[in-house]
Amino acid sequence: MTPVRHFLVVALLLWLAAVGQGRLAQAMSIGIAQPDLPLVVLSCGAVLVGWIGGTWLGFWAGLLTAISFPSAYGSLFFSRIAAGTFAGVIGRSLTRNNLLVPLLVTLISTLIAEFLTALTAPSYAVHHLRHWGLQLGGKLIYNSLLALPVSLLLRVLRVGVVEEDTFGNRL
Amino acid sequence: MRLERDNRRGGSLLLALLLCGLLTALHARSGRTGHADLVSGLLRDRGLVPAQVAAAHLGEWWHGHIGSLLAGPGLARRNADLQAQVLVLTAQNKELFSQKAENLRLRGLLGFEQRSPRSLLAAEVIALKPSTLSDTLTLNRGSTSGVHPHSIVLAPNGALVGQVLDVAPGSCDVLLLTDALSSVGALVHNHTASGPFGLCQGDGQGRLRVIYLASDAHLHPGDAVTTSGLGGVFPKDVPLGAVNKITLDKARSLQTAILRPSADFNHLEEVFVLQDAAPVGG
Repeated sequence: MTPVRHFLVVALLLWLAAVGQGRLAQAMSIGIAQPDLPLVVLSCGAVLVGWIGGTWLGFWAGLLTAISFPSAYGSLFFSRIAAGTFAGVIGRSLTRNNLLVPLLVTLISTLIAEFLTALTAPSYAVHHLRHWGLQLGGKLIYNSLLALPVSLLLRVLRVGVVEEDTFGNRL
Repeated sequence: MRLERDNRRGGSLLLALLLCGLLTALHARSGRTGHADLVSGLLRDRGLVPAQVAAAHLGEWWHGHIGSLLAGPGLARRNADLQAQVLVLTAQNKELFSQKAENLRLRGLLGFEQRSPRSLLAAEVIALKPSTLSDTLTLNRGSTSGVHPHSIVLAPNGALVGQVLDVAPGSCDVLLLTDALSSVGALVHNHTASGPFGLCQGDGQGRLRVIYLASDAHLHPGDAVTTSGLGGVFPKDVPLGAVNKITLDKARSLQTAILRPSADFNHLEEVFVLQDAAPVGG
């Protein structure tokens, strides 16, 4: 697969995750812990497609998330671009075959996205700090655990698998 | 080579951020009228809503065909309960019909004008609480069906669900009553001539409470709470819930009632939109 195809596969999965978020997230919630499916797919996918791909996947994930929640449109949009870029950048420095990598990247990406959202749209976090903290904790654990099946799915779809690049032209 | 690559990366990030800012500005500009901007509206109506509707139908099919097989033993008992409930409701219905006829006759005698009931638009919930940041849901009806910002949304049992926040041509987002930013004037029916007024607020955690109730108001667990109709946004006498717990703030001489909501906010599948509520602030 070419890098563009890798990108398109993850973008399609992001769209499915956004659809699933509306239908399944409430049903999947355990207590106050609710997963953020697009963010999980974004983190796992961006690790595999690199910096530029991660940025644009973040843009796509941000747009899909923001249109579902108009009150914090810009905050969600921006935070997902940042999370996607982070995951894309960090992916280059890590051994992608290790199963712990998607788990850790998702954990940190979620933390970055949620903190940036809270920073740019602080009304909820400030007024319900304890509840926001509990929700964040639950989401961090839930997203990290979901990163394992999502990264396995991406592996099955051969996302991030590239031909050997002898001359180091790969981005 | 390395410099060129870094430039491309930086350029991509900058372009993405610029586009993000541009779309956010467009959204904020459209948001003043309560309508979704062109990009969001198009993406939501053409990209997300059809898939969410399909997913909702798939879920219904699954629930009806596969889920019912798994629920086997409980179904017979539930069926018997529902049959008993139908009998009770049929009797109540007959009684209500006769009371309605009498009401119409008495109104005619007194020369009152007929109050035409507001028309209801049935809508399907295609996304429920997609974000923990806020309690919202998405409906498969939008401005082409007559939904506008601040339209009132009711549960199938007539209880208040919330009001429309953002409208695209084929879908809309509803801010639930349980959201921390929601509030509505409330009236507690405590079996006195005029029950105490308060403000019903969501707490963002799925609960409702009525604040600013006078400390000398006699409240009892189980008292019904409805909208007060004050403020003109929400119609009067729409059920909100029943008093579950009462707390007294002695310092401020005020009571707060924690409610058991009438609407089941976690399992909404279909709702009704009140169509002829005048837009406020739009």
